[in-house]
Amino acid sequence: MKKLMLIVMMFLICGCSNYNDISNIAVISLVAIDYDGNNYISYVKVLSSNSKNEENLYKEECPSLANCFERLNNKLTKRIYLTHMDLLVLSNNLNIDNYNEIINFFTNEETSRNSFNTVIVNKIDDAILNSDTNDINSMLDLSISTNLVAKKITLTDIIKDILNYKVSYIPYLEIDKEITVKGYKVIYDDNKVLTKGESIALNIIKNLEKNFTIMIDNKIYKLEECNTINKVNDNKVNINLNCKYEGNNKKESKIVEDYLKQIIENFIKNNNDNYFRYLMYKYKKENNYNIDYQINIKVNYQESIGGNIFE
Amino acid sequence: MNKEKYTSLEIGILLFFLLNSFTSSILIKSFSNKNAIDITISILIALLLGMPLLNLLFRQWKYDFLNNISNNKIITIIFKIVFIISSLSISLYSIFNLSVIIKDIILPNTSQKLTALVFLLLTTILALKGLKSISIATNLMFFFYVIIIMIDLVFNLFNVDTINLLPMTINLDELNFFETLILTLSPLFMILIIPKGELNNFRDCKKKMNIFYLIFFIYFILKILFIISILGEKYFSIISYPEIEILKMINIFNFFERLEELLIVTIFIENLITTAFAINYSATIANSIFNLEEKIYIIIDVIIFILLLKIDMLSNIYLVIILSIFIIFNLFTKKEKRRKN
Repeated sequence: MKKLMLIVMMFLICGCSNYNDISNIAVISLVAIDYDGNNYISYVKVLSSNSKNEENLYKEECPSLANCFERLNNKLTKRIYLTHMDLLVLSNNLNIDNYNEIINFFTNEETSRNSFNTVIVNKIDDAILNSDTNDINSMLDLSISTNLVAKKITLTDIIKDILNYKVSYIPYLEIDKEITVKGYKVIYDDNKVLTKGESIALNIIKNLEKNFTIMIDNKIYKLEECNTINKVNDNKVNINLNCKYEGNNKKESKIVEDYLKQIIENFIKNNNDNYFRYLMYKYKKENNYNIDYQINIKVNYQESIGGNIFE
Repeated sequence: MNKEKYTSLEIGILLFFLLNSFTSSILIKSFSNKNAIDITISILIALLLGMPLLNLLFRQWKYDFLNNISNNKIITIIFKIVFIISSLSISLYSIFNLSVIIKDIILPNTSQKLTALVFLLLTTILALKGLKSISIATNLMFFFYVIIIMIDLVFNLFNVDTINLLPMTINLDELNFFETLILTLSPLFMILIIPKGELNNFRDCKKKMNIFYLIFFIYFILKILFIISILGEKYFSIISYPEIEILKMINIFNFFERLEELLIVTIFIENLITTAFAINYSATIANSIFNLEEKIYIIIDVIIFILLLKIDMLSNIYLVIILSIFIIFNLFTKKEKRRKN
């Protein structure tokens, strides 16, 4: 009987029913979504199944996102496969309803893993559509590790942020002659783009990077082993930042301290309604509160090994 | 039936899997929309309710209960039928959950019934081999299980944000009574389906079972707190499989990604062992009434498969009713006749 069962299983496991050939699925690497007030304009980059490794771009304009993908399905006569998607590009024109629809669409789509990076751009054009998705992802990696501007974020993280804190910060790219990382865009309740200083302050408060460089008055300062601890006590937020600065002049560490304090204060003044709301909400379930804050920054000076050649 | 005896460690490991199969995906999901502290309290209540009940059941534990339930033949048969129904429902529940998870995560286009049939046949082969084989298979799988759990744990530690566990407030009104009841009853059932005649040293096994019962509850609390600390309670309450969602976030040195379909194997192991065990148990009891030997496995498979074809949704309510009846019946069986080891 055991042999009989094994034989039956052999036929069942071989996967002859409902199989999908590689040529029957459309593997998507990038999706870009824009909104013109009435219709969604979606751009989809599909990897071709031939040996040339080409990528084909398709554009659809329709009232809902699901509708766009259905049309694309019919046009390609292939099943849409989002598992290998690397990048989601969103336009600056989207509003809360659009974000809700996009999140609903991707979470309900069976093949989507939601682990792709998401960026917002000022306009969707050939510059972003024709660029390699890996290049954009590397650009974001570099922007955090060198200038501390913006860290890449996946769709899952965005959903988590929106559900838990009702605010999310998505990297904002500006496309002019070339693509540059400008900072973060606040989405959901607010809909504004943070300045470069505010974005740096946010990264410091969130403790996203330990080692980075910042530019003050055209001079580069290299900071190492930075660590931020946020504490909330009785409606008061305490931000404690500790960093190590390696340079030639002890006074420079004071310049860095002042600069960091200034950008963090600036960020809190302009954005206290969204980021600190979640901290307060988590600790105390009150809707009306006045945020008081205290910033303690300590930049420890350490003499550079190389020294200053021209001094 | 294989008459080889278990060691107490084998029993402990086996019990750990049997207890875990219930918590995977479905039970974790039923604790959604609660904050971390409320969930912990629910689980602790389940533990406090379960411990005395477990010891009560240990006192009623019979070495060879199949022939000694009662002197009255009709009552014996009624008891046995209750035991068969409850163990069949457990195997049905496990195989159904497994096929749903496979359909949702790995094979969305394949028929759910087909995957259920494949796994049903696989578990039947394991069940046919006897209890000793099941426990050996379990012990072997335990190493893979521990390795995978360690990978999950270590590479998800970077995603943990303890702020997600806040606020630390207790809302006793919001405690999930029904889920607490399932969590109290289902582990007891799992302990009871371990056949009594096969134990090497009952006193030692009892000790190990108590220890693994505690370990399971601690592991379960830590598991839920770990998942909430990664996902946040709102996201945790929305998604269908929070346990699998955290596996998607694993990224080993930016080189190994998309590992969830490999790491999901822990859920397979738990459910397959439970199903095999429950099938073996029901077949053993059924054989004591009808004496059909190996043919009984085919009958059980056919019954489970027919029920799977008819079922679209499995509700926890039926499970609680069946488990409660089973445990009550177990409490009414005669007191153990002590055997000198």
